[in-house]
Amino acid sequence: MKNILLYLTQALVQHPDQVTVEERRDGNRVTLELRVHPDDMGRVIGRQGRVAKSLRTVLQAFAGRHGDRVRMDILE
Amino acid sequence: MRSAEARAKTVEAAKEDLVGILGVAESLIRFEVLEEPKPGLMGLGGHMALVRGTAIAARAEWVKGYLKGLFQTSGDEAVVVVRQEEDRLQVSVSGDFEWFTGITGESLDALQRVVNSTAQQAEGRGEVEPGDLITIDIGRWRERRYEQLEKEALELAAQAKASGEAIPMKPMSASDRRAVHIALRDYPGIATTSEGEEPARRVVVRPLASDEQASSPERQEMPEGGPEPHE
Repeated sequence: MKNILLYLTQALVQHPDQVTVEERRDGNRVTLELRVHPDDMGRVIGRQGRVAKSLRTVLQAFAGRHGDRVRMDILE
Repeated sequence: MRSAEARAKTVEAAKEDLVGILGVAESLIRFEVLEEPKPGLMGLGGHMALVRGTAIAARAEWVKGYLKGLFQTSGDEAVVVVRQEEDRLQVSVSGDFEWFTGITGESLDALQRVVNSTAQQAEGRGEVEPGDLITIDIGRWRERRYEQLEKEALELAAQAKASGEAIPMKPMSASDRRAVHIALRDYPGIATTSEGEEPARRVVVRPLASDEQASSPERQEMPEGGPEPHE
């Protein structure tokens, strides 16, 4: 899951080298913590949170395949 | 990204040289004029134009690479075909992806929004050719879905016309609603509108009074993933 979020985010931002993702797993619950360059926050969140919402839906499609639930937090 | 510099008497001539050097169409090169040509005095002290050209990815190639790369990350092989339609770039992904589309197509709409946002950002960085909205279908999911919706819409239109009553459909996503509006666009004596608030927004199929028919109102919706959906 980590690699998928990295892939999606790095293509979106201005500073791909500043993107980090931490993945934690608890049973079938996966938590992804995304960090980006401060200037890129708006790009991953989008107007009215549209981009972040879409990213979460796409991640869930990938996770659902293995019966996992995924949660993605964007951290400052 | 590939780039090159060329020196010539004029900026235009340098650009022409760069088209030859980079081997791609002029529309796929981002030019930066590094030095304007300067005429010298009696052949002395002047210099020629210096232009840098960077090859940017054609939109179709870009989206193909992006989607292949995405599914490769999850260990899947995707076959991606891109077709330029009238006002959109239609992308079809084939492979074993039923797990992705699911039943509602929600993830397909979400992927489409992510791809269009990413394309917009990449355009801003001069990495990809600007162009039309990208629409994505996976495993012909949309194609089948829209055929089904069209059939349903035509049945409801016939019913609405026969009864003279407006018929609300069940709540649907923006891309599904758009498919219904398009299916009934030219249906005589019928108008369609979208009513209510997301996520309960729905299409209403209504018969037109005979005096309305000359100028049937038409409501077009932006497809999902549009740069600025107006809803």
